Amino acid sequence: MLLIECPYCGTRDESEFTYGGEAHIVRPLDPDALNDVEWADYLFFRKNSKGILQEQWNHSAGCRRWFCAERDTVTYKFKSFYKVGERPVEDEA
Amino acid sequence: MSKPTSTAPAMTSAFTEIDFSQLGTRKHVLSIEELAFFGHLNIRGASDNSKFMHGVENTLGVALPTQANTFLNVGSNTVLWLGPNEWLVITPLAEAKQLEQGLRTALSGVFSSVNEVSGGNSVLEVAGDKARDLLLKGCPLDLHSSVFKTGQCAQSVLAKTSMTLWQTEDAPVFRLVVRRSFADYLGHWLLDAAREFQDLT
Repeated sequence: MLLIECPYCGTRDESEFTYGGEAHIVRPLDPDALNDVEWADYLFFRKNSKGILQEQWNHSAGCRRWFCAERDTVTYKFKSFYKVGERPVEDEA
Repeated sequence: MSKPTSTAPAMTSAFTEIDFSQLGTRKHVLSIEELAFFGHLNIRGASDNSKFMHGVENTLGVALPTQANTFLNVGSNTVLWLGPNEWLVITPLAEAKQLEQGLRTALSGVFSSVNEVSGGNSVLEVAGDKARDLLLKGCPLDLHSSVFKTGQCAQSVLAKTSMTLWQTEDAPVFRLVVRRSFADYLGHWLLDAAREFQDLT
Protein backbone atom coordinates (compact mmCIF):
# COMPACT_ATOMS: atom_id res chain seq x y z
CA MET A 1 0.00 0.00 0.00
CA LEU A 2 1.29 3.43 -0.94
CA LEU A 3 1.25 6.43 1.36
CA ILE A 4 0.40 9.54 -0.62
CA GLU A 5 0.88 13.07 0.64
CA CYS A 6 -2.03 15.31 -0.28
CA PRO A 7 -0.70 18.92 -0.35
CA TYR A 8 -3.83 19.98 1.57
CA CYS A 9 -4.62 17.14 4.01
CA GLY A 10 -1.25 15.52 4.57
CA THR A 11 -0.20 11.89 4.29
CA ARG A 12 -3.03 9.45 3.68
CA ASP A 13 -3.54 5.93 2.50
CA GLU A 14 -3.54 5.12 -1.22
CA SER A 15 -7.15 3.90 -1.02
CA GLU A 16 -8.37 7.48 -0.51
CA PHE A 17 -6.99 8.56 -3.88
CA THR A 18 -7.86 8.27 -7.55
CA TYR A 19 -5.20 8.25 -10.24
CA GLY A 20 -5.45 10.88 -12.95
CA GLY A 21 -2.76 10.00 -15.49
CA GLU A 22 0.14 12.06 -16.75
CA ALA A 23 0.30 15.70 -15.62
CA HIS A 24 1.12 18.94 -17.42
CA ILE A 25 -0.60 18.07 -20.69
CA VAL A 26 -1.55 21.43 -22.13
CA ARG A 27 -4.72 21.72 -24.15
CA PRO A 28 -3.95 23.25 -27.57
CA LEU A 29 -4.93 26.92 -27.68
CA ASP A 30 -6.49 26.57 -31.11
CA PRO A 31 -7.84 23.01 -31.52
CA ASP A 32 -9.31 23.81 -34.94
CA ALA A 33 -5.83 24.43 -36.33
CA LEU A 34 -4.69 20.90 -35.48
CA ASN A 35 -4.71 17.99 -37.89
CA ASP A 36 -5.93 14.55 -36.80
CA VAL A 37 -2.47 13.33 -35.91
CA GLU A 38 -1.76 16.29 -33.63
CA TRP A 39 -5.21 16.08 -32.01
CA ALA A 40 -4.81 12.33 -31.41
CA ASP A 41 -1.41 13.03 -29.91
CA TYR A 42 -2.97 15.48 -27.46
CA LEU A 43 -5.90 13.20 -26.60
CA PHE A 44 -4.38 9.74 -26.45
CA PHE A 45 -0.61 9.54 -26.57
CA ARG A 46 1.32 9.60 -23.31
CA LYS A 47 4.98 9.30 -22.42
CA ASN A 48 4.78 5.87 -20.74
CA SER A 49 8.19 6.65 -19.33
CA LYS A 50 10.33 4.23 -17.38
CA GLY A 51 11.50 6.15 -14.33
CA ILE A 52 10.22 9.46 -13.00
CA LEU A 53 6.73 10.36 -14.20
CA GLN A 54 4.83 13.52 -13.31
CA GLU A 55 1.23 12.55 -12.73
CA GLN A 56 -2.10 13.78 -11.43
CA TRP A 57 -3.89 12.47 -8.38
CA ASN A 58 -7.26 13.27 -6.87
CA HIS A 59 -7.87 12.99 -3.13
CA SER A 60 -11.29 11.58 -3.91
CA ALA A 61 -12.22 10.28 -0.45
CA GLY A 62 -10.72 13.32 1.30
CA CYS A 63 -10.71 16.95 0.25
CA ARG A 64 -11.53 16.02 -3.38
CA ARG A 65 -8.76 18.29 -4.75
CA TRP A 66 -6.46 17.50 -7.65
CA PHE A 67 -2.72 17.72 -7.19
CA CYS A 68 0.43 16.44 -8.87
CA ALA A 69 3.13 13.99 -7.89
CA GLU A 70 6.41 12.70 -9.23
CA ARG A 71 6.64 8.94 -9.03
CA ASP A 72 9.18 6.43 -10.22
CA THR A 73 7.32 3.96 -12.41
CA VAL A 74 9.92 1.28 -11.73
CA THR A 75 10.00 1.39 -7.94
CA TYR A 76 6.61 3.10 -7.37
CA LYS A 77 8.45 5.42 -4.99
CA PHE A 78 7.12 8.99 -4.83
CA LYS A 79 9.68 11.74 -5.26
CA SER A 80 7.57 14.85 -4.63
CA PHE A 81 4.04 16.18 -4.29
CA TYR A 82 2.90 19.62 -5.42
CA LYS A 83 -0.25 21.60 -6.17
CA VAL A 84 -1.80 22.03 -9.59
CA GLY A 85 -0.25 25.06 -11.27
CA GLU A 86 3.09 24.49 -9.60
CA ARG A 87 6.10 22.67 -11.00
CA PRO A 88 8.43 20.25 -9.26
CA VAL A 89 11.31 22.01 -7.53
CA GLU A 90 13.99 20.87 -10.00
CA ASP A 91 12.13 22.43 -12.94
CA GLU A 92 12.30 25.90 -11.46
CA ALA A 93 16.08 26.09 -11.61
CA MET B 1 -50.97 13.24 -10.96
CA SER B 2 -50.82 14.40 -7.36
CA LYS B 3 -50.30 18.01 -6.55
CA PRO B 4 -46.93 18.98 -5.11
CA THR B 5 -47.17 19.68 -1.42
CA SER B 6 -45.97 22.92 0.02
CA THR B 7 -44.23 21.39 3.02
CA ALA B 8 -41.18 19.17 2.78
CA PRO B 9 -41.61 15.65 4.16
CA ALA B 10 -40.54 15.36 7.77
CA MET B 11 -37.01 14.07 8.18
CA THR B 12 -36.63 10.59 9.61
CA SER B 13 -33.73 8.77 11.15
CA ALA B 14 -31.25 7.47 8.58
CA PHE B 15 -30.86 4.23 10.54
CA THR B 16 -34.49 3.10 10.59
CA GLU B 17 -33.52 -0.56 10.16
CA ILE B 18 -30.70 -0.51 12.69
CA ASP B 19 -31.00 -0.69 16.46
CA PHE B 20 -27.69 0.35 18.00
CA SER B 21 -29.02 -0.60 21.46
CA GLN B 22 -28.50 -4.20 20.29
CA LEU B 23 -24.78 -3.59 20.11
CA GLY B 24 -24.32 -5.78 23.19
CA THR B 25 -21.24 -3.95 24.46
CA ARG B 26 -20.85 -2.23 27.79
CA LYS B 27 -21.17 1.51 27.42
CA HIS B 28 -17.63 2.35 28.50
CA VAL B 29 -16.27 -0.25 26.07
CA LEU B 30 -18.20 0.88 23.03
CA SER B 31 -21.37 2.81 22.28
CA ILE B 32 -22.85 3.96 19.01
CA GLU B 33 -25.66 6.45 18.75
CA GLU B 34 -27.24 8.25 15.87
CA LEU B 35 -27.54 11.99 16.37
CA ALA B 36 -30.29 12.53 13.85
CA PHE B 37 -31.87 15.81 12.84
CA PHE B 38 -28.86 17.99 12.39
CA GLY B 39 -28.75 20.53 9.63
CA HIS B 40 -25.69 20.38 7.36
CA LEU B 41 -24.51 23.43 5.43
CA ASN B 42 -21.73 23.18 2.90
CA ILE B 43 -19.86 26.46 2.43
CA ARG B 44 -17.38 27.13 -0.34
CA GLY B 45 -15.29 30.20 -0.99
CA ALA B 46 -11.70 31.38 -1.13
CA SER B 47 -9.97 31.68 2.24
CA ASP B 48 -7.89 34.59 0.90
CA ASN B 49 -11.05 36.54 0.04
CA SER B 50 -11.52 38.79 3.08
CA LYS B 51 -15.12 39.65 2.11
CA PHE B 52 -15.99 35.96 2.14
CA MET B 53 -14.17 35.21 5.40
CA HIS B 54 -15.65 38.26 7.17
CA GLY B 55 -19.15 37.56 5.88
CA VAL B 56 -19.07 34.03 7.28
CA GLU B 57 -17.44 35.14 10.52
CA ASN B 58 -20.08 37.79 11.15
CA THR B 59 -22.86 35.23 10.66
CA LEU B 60 -21.35 32.26 12.46
CA GLY B 61 -19.70 34.28 15.20
CA VAL B 62 -16.36 32.63 14.57
CA ALA B 63 -13.76 32.63 11.81
CA LEU B 64 -13.70 29.59 9.53
CA PRO B 65 -10.84 27.26 10.50
CA THR B 66 -8.11 27.54 7.87
CA GLN B 67 -5.79 24.97 9.39
CA ALA B 68 -6.17 21.65 7.61
CA ASN B 69 -8.01 18.81 9.37
CA THR B 70 -9.38 20.91 12.24
CA PHE B 71 -12.83 21.86 13.44
CA LEU B 72 -14.24 24.18 16.07
CA ASN B 73 -17.44 24.44 18.07
CA VAL B 74 -19.27 27.71 18.44
CA GLY B 75 -22.56 27.77 20.34
CA SER B 76 -24.60 24.84 19.08
CA ASN B 77 -22.72 24.73 15.76
CA THR B 78 -19.72 22.71 14.63
CA VAL B 79 -17.58 24.05 11.78
CA LEU B 80 -15.44 21.45 10.00
CA TRP B 81 -12.58 22.10 7.57
CA LEU B 82 -13.19 19.96 4.48
CA GLY B 83 -10.66 21.42 2.07
CA PRO B 84 -8.72 24.61 1.31
CA ASN B 85 -11.94 26.31 0.16
CA GLU B 86 -14.69 24.15 1.63
CA TRP B 87 -16.30 23.85 5.07
CA LEU B 88 -19.21 21.99 6.64
CA VAL B 89 -21.36 23.59 9.32
CA ILE B 90 -23.42 21.23 11.45
CA THR B 91 -26.25 22.97 13.24
CA PRO B 92 -29.54 21.96 14.92
CA LEU B 93 -32.03 21.26 12.13
CA ALA B 94 -34.47 23.89 13.40
CA GLU B 95 -31.80 26.58 12.98
CA ALA B 96 -30.43 25.45 9.62
CA LYS B 97 -32.80 27.42 7.41
CA GLN B 98 -32.19 30.66 9.28
CA LEU B 99 -28.42 30.15 9.27
CA GLU B 100 -28.46 29.40 5.55
CA GLN B 101 -30.43 32.58 4.87
CA GLY B 102 -28.09 34.56 7.09
CA LEU B 103 -25.03 33.26 5.26
CA ARG B 104 -26.59 33.91 1.86
CA THR B 105 -27.41 37.48 2.86
CA ALA B 106 -23.94 38.07 4.28
CA LEU B 107 -22.31 36.63 1.16
CA SER B 108 -24.48 38.25 -1.50
CA GLY B 109 -22.24 39.48 -4.30
CA VAL B 110 -19.29 37.48 -2.95
CA PHE B 111 -17.94 34.59 -5.04
CA SER B 112 -19.02 31.69 -2.83
CA SER B 113 -21.69 29.07 -2.34
CA VAL B 114 -23.86 27.94 0.56
CA ASN B 115 -25.71 24.66 0.14
CA GLU B 116 -27.94 22.85 2.57
CA VAL B 117 -27.08 19.16 2.37
CA SER B 118 -28.91 17.93 5.49
CA GLY B 119 -31.06 15.46 3.59
CA GLY B 120 -28.12 13.37 2.41
CA ASN B 121 -26.31 13.02 5.70
CA SER B 122 -26.64 11.80 9.23
CA VAL B 123 -24.35 11.93 12.25
CA LEU B 124 -23.14 9.01 14.35
CA GLU B 125 -21.41 9.23 17.70
CA VAL B 126 -18.98 6.40 18.42
CA ALA B 127 -17.49 6.40 21.90
CA GLY B 128 -15.70 4.16 24.35
CA ASP B 129 -12.40 2.41 24.96
CA LYS B 130 -12.77 0.36 21.77
CA ALA B 131 -14.10 3.13 19.53
CA ARG B 132 -10.71 3.50 17.82
CA ASP B 133 -10.37 -0.25 17.30
CA LEU B 134 -13.84 -0.40 15.78
CA LEU B 135 -13.24 2.44 13.33
CA LEU B 136 -9.81 1.11 12.37
CA LYS B 137 -11.42 -2.05 11.04
CA GLY B 138 -12.72 -0.08 8.08
CA CYS B 139 -10.82 3.18 8.02
CA PRO B 140 -7.33 3.83 6.59
CA LEU B 141 -6.65 6.89 8.79
CA ASP B 142 -3.99 6.76 11.48
CA LEU B 143 -6.23 7.11 14.52
CA HIS B 144 -3.55 6.54 17.16
CA SER B 145 -4.09 8.96 20.03
CA SER B 146 -0.71 10.55 19.35
CA VAL B 147 -1.70 11.36 15.76
CA PHE B 148 -5.45 11.92 15.65
CA LYS B 149 -6.52 14.07 18.59
CA THR B 150 -9.47 15.99 19.97
CA GLY B 151 -10.08 18.99 17.74
CA GLN B 152 -9.04 17.22 14.56
CA CYS B 153 -11.24 16.11 11.70
CA ALA B 154 -10.67 14.18 8.50
CA GLN B 155 -12.58 13.07 5.47
CA SER B 156 -11.96 9.46 4.65
CA VAL B 157 -13.76 6.17 4.21
CA LEU B 158 -15.34 3.76 6.67
CA ALA B 159 -16.11 0.31 5.33
CA LYS B 160 -15.66 1.78 1.83
CA THR B 161 -18.31 4.48 2.34
CA SER B 162 -17.29 8.12 2.51
CA MET B 163 -17.42 9.80 5.87
CA THR B 164 -16.17 12.82 7.77
CA LEU B 165 -14.74 12.03 11.17
CA TRP B 166 -13.94 14.31 14.07
CA GLN B 167 -12.95 13.73 17.68
CA THR B 168 -14.83 15.70 20.33
CA GLU B 169 -13.33 14.24 23.52
CA ASP B 170 -10.18 12.44 24.60
CA ALA B 171 -12.27 9.61 26.11
CA PRO B 172 -12.38 9.01 23.05
CA VAL B 173 -15.60 10.28 21.54
CA PHE B 174 -15.80 10.43 17.76
CA ARG B 175 -18.51 11.86 15.57
CA LEU B 176 -19.01 10.90 11.96
CA VAL B 177 -20.98 12.43 9.14
CA VAL B 178 -22.15 9.48 7.07
CA ARG B 179 -24.15 9.22 3.89
CA ARG B 180 -27.84 8.52 4.45
CA SER B 181 -27.95 6.30 1.38
CA PHE B 182 -25.33 3.98 2.91
CA ALA B 183 -26.78 4.07 6.43
CA ASP B 184 -28.40 0.65 6.33
CA TYR B 185 -25.24 -1.00 4.98
CA LEU B 186 -22.97 0.88 7.37
CA GLY B 187 -25.22 0.16 10.35
CA HIS B 188 -25.09 -3.58 9.70
CA TRP B 189 -21.33 -3.38 9.20
CA LEU B 190 -20.90 -1.56 12.53
CA LEU B 191 -23.08 -4.04 14.45
CA ASP B 192 -21.08 -6.92 12.99
CA ALA B 193 -17.70 -5.26 13.56
CA ALA B 194 -18.62 -4.57 17.21
CA ARG B 195 -19.46 -8.18 18.04
CA GLU B 196 -15.96 -9.04 19.23
CA PHE B 197 -16.21 -6.35 21.92
CA GLN B 198 -19.42 -7.78 23.45
CA ASP B 199 -17.64 -9.90 26.05
CA LEU B 200 -15.34 -7.15 27.30
CA THR B 201 -16.08 -5.75 30.72
